[in-house]
Amino acid sequence: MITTNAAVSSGGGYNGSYRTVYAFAYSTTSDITISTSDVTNQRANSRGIYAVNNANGNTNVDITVSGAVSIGAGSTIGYGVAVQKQGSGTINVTLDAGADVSGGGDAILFGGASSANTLTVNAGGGFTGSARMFGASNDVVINGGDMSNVTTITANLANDAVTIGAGTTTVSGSQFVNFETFTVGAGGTANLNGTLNVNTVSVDAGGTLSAGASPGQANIVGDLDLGAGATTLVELAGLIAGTQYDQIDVSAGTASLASGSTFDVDFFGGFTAGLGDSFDILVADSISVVDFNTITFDFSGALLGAGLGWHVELIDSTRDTLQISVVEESAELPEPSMLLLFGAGALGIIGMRRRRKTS
Amino acid sequence: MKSTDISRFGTRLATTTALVSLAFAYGARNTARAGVCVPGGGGTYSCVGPAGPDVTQSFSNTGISVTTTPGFGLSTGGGQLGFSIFSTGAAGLSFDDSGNPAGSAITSGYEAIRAVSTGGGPISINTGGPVSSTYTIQETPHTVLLPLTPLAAVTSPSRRMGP
Repeated sequence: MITTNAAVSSGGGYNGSYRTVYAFAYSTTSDITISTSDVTNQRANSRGIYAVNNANGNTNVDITVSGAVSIGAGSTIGYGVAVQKQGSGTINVTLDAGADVSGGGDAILFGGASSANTLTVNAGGGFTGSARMFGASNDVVINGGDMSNVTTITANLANDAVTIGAGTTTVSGSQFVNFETFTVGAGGTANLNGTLNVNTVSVDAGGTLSAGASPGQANIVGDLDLGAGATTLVELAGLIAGTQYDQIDVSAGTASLASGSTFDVDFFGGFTAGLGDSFDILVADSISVVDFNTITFDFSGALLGAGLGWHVELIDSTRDTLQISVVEESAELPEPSMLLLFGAGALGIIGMRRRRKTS
Repeated sequence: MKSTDISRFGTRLATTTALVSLAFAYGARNTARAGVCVPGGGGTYSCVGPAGPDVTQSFSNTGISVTTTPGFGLSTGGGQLGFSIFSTGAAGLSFDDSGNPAGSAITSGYEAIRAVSTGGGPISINTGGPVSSTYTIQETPHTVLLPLTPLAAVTSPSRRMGP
């Protein structure tokens, strides 16, 4: 249960009246559009851009920033961009290339309780600190934007979504609070670090999910759906999960591998795996695969020495594990009891690997 | 009129003309130096001149359109607004800096741009240059109104919480 925003509604002694760009409407029909470059408010605890519509109508507020927005040094409250809106409609805040928004309390505040809110962070844009979204729905779209200085984006959970759009984005799971879904869309690559707590993480066709920007650990608390055409990038730089090679851990949910999804396995940093090396690349409470033979494992970036091949295995244990390991090409498969369902599939992978090596 | 009177009149006229010309020249130079917005009729204003020290550019109409020209800038101090634009009609108001390709530098001692619409019209603000407020004066802090409506508790029945 999310209990409102009491902390925000308090305002005694708050210097909220100090703003640099201020748009105020009191009308059920007034839309507000603001586009700025640099905006500086030298006063501490103030606001850079502040848009208000206090009439209870279906109106829209669109703010686009392409420069630095900041408030006075030492601010503990106040906002870089703040929107206060009654009624339905939309609030869109877009951070384009060059945008760097910072504030005291939050960098960005969506103050519409009944509106559909969207924060878009495009390539070259970003913000520092936190953002809070209180709308009826709250979406975050990251198109290659810089998330390295973001602490948290907080929403309301129900109907609230994070979408990784076109471009490569490195994010930490802890940056997203109270979102229901996290989706990697076509053309998007999400380098996901840390723990992401959402209902569902989805990777759509053309989207790529990777644990960490280099070998790292991604913990998903919820479901993971790797759709047809989705790619999971696995980088191997050593034998320790989460630090030397990518590992995705799915807890409190199921990892579903759709037919047509791909695991792209690459060596990283000069590492080369040897005989007997194994890598638990996906660990989950449950791993669901409709047809293991339709999952592609691309080892073209992880070529082994002569006589060695990759073996893929789905291990049924306390937790399901998708493991890749290096075996002799003539090695027999493990005992059937070691395989969950898809021993034939794993054999097929070895066979595929052999075919690639000899082609 | 005697010839001497005519001569005196001519001298006075020449002197007056020179003084008026000087005044105009001074005024023109002042106008060019300071940032100011010139009315063009129908609620339109064209802003010209580099940042001065300037005074607040204040407009009120049913519909207002403020545009900038190359080289424009505005600098007010002492707790003064930069722009105060007030629309009372459905046409709303706009501030568009695209006429100054370099972007207009706007500095104020209070709000740099205050745009208010109460007649149902839209507000559009487009700045291209640095906009800043120094807030050199002190005011009685206002109570913030955010958010206006407390949010209802939100739950998701399908939510699974982590261990």
